[in-house]
Amino acid sequence: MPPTKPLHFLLVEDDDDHANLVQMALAENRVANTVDHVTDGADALSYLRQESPYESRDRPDVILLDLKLPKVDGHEVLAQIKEDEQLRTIPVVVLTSSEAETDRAKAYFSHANSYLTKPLDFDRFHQMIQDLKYYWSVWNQPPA
Amino acid sequence: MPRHRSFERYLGLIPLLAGGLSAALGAVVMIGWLTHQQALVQVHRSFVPMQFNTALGFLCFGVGLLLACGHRRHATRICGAVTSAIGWLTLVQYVGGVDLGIDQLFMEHYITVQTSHPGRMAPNTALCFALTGAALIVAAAPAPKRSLIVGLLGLGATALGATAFFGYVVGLETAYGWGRLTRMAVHTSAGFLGLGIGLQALAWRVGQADHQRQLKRWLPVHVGVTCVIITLVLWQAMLSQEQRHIEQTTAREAELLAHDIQEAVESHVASLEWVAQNRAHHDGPFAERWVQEAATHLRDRLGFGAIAWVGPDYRTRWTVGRAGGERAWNPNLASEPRRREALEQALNQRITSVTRPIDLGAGHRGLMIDVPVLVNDEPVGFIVGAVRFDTLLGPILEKEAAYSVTLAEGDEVFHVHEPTDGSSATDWLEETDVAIRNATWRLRVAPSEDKVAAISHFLPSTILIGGMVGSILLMMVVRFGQVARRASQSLLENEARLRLMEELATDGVWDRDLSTGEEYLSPQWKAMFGYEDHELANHADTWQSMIFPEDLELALRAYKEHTEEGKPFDIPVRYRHKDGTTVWVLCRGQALKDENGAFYRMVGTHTNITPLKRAEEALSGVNTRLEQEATERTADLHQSRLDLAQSILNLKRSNEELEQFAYAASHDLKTPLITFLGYLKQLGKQVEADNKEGVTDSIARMQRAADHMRELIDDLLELSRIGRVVSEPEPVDVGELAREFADDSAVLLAESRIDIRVEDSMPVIVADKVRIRQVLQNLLSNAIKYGRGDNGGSIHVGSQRVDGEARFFVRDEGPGIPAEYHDKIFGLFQKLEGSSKGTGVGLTIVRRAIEWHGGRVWVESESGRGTTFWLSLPKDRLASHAA
Repeated sequence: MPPTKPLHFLLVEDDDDHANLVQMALAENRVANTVDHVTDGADALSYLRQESPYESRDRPDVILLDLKLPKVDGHEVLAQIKEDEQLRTIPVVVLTSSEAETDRAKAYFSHANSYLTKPLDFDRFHQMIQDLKYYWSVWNQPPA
Repeated sequence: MPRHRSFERYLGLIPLLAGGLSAALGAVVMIGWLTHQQALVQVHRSFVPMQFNTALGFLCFGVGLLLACGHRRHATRICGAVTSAIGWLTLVQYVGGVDLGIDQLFMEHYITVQTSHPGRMAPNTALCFALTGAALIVAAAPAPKRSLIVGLLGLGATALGATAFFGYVVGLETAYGWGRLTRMAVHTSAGFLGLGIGLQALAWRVGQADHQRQLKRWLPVHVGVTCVIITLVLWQAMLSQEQRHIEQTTAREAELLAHDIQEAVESHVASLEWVAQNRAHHDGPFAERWVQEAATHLRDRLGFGAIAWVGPDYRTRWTVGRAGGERAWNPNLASEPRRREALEQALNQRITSVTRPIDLGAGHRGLMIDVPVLVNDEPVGFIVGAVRFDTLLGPILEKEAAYSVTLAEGDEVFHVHEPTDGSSATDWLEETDVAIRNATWRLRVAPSEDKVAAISHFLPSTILIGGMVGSILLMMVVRFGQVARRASQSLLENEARLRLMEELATDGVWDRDLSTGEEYLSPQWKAMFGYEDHELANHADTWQSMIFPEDLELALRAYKEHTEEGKPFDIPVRYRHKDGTTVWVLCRGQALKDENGAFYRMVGTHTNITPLKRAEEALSGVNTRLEQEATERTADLHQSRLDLAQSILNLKRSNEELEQFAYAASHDLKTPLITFLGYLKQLGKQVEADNKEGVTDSIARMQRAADHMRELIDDLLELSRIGRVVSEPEPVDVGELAREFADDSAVLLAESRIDIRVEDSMPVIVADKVRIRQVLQNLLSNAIKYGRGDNGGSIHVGSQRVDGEARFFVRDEGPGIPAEYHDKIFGLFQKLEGSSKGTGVGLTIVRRAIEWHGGRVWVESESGRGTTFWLSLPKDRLASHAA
């Protein structure tokens, strides 16, 4: 098994409680993952483009993106990331409570790398985050 | 096109007619055979009869063609197969040289004029049946392009039949007879001619059925192929006719020669016999008289080299010869076998006999004629004449300058004569026997190449070349005919167009060069406005100075739209007539592009529509009255339509909202539930770990999630009540409601350091008070929540009257809302800030409630400049209006 490497996540989530749940799940590991949390689409784009107040932040390894976001909608954030030559290589995992087929289709159409629906059952929710973390940190080979 | 249709009907009848005639022909000839009526079988006593099998073929084919017309596919195929089999089997017999026993299977043939094998049909007849039978099979099969195949097969039969018939008409035997084989009967040839045409018509019918226009398309090919076939057959026929002519000429020449040679030899024999006769009468040797007599004959008959009186012991007694002739004379004739043989024969049989070719000395070849001299029937000696071939045959062959002639006895060629040009066409060699007393010579005669060329007629090659060229020409003519017909149709259309244009000649024509401004104006153009041709300049300024100034603008705009947007240039405009009156003109035009796509020229017409406009004006008076009445009536109708449209619109909107709701609910209602369940789980762990801080945090979060859910449900309920739960409309003082809210929220306002300023004497509206209160509550609590600056602020509630509408506003001094969210914020569950704990339903309720009252909601805001929410209500909602 390849060694687990610490990952830098950007969590884009408007709901603080959800963000907290995801962060707790991500933190539950020997490896020290970094999780940065922003609460709307505009902030997410500023963060990724290293604009004020995020000039000092590195680009994340994986973006966890909610779709229903204030200011700039998650779909728009995704589209802008994938249109940006600098950003399009960062894997974007859509993490949403929306089960609407249109959302899913639209997200993949905009080149989302993965689409996850938040399960109501917390055990499954927790498992999903664990798997997600494991997948991206162990199995996935990032672009050079 | 009725003419065309009737033509098609006639064409459709041809196969029926051909089938019927073919069957009838076959039946009649069969009856002729059975009842021994020669006229039916032969037509003429010298003609070849139509064989019984041929008649059978015609009957079978005719029935098949009729069946094909009746679409009896299966039966048609059987008839076709039988017909074709008759043809093929006969051909096999000819080619394979075998007798399959089919020739006289049905009928013992008692007429065999010009028949090579009794009962066997001619090879060309057999070929025709093979083709036509196959055509029937194809016509009944679902083969692709079957109409083409049937047509071509029919064509073959037509061509063969036509050629044979032609042969009968012009007396060209080779056209209906191949080699020495049975000839095609005259009625057979006529039958095939008709039958082939029937087949082609069938091909056309089949093509129609297959919805193909092949007849038209292939017509030139059909015509061409027919002509080529006819040409080839005719050429062959004429060629063989010519061959026969050469053969006959050569043979006749040989006969004549044989006769001449025989006569020449006989004349010499006669001379000798005469001498022998005299010798016998004058018994005893009268040397002088004999010599005299022999010398006379020697002089008369140029063939003699010498004449001798020979004793019974074969020894020569006396000799009379030409100069040098005697010296070559061998006195003992018995010493040489050929001489001896002839003498013995003459002596024993007492007849004149001739020797086989012998050497006469000095390199001359010739023969000896031995005539026995008999006294009392007892031979007493011979009169022997030596005849040289060159002197005997020379004078005869001299005139045969165009033939090579060979004379032989058995295998021994003894005389050869070459034609003057030295060549001989041995292909045309003719042989004949020449009987010379006890010997038989073989005479071979062949014409020289020159002779053959002279006999050969230029006609066959002319027909071949001419026919081929003619076929191609005919093909092209038919093709051009087709094209020309199509072209003439479009020409007719063009003519009609021209005529139409002539009729329109009262219109003025203008033609403008867009680069130079030069403009041709036709005399009619100028006459329309009362000017002579020379009175107006051909320039673009002319029309611009004559058109009404307000219409000039219209025209320029129309030109712009025409060139830029491609709209048609077609406008009614007014011009000033020379006499000052107004001329209405319909101005139409088309701008033309050069190869670069740039406009360089524009042409158009002027049609005088003044009378039309006058009539229009006269009518408009009447119209106005009518219109008024109509307007009144339609107004009602219009209103009910509007109502209907509104209902549809409402339905659509409620549908859309329902969809939006379902979508949003799946997300927004789930979100607090996930939180709740998530922290519930955490809570369990934290209790186990005795983590008090965590427990408190989790419970707080769960409480917030549950509260949020309750709020959501409350708001959604409120939203759903709008339009559903309706209170009786009553006068509502909006200002009063705002003040009530301010009083109720005094504590909160003090905490937030916000004051609410409400204008005095705001309009009173008639509305659902509960809803209007709700609207104000939502707007004001939003303003308190989001519209405060760092040091509190002020909220301004006021009103305006615009166009009779009542407009109310709630203005705060907060950070404002960016323009892109102005519409979005009214959407269900749309929140501007993620951290805010609102439900995202409040503004949706505002919009729904106001729209239900027939009003509108919008927001005016700039970042950092505060936000103003506007409500407008229609004037019929105003209390004063209603009162």
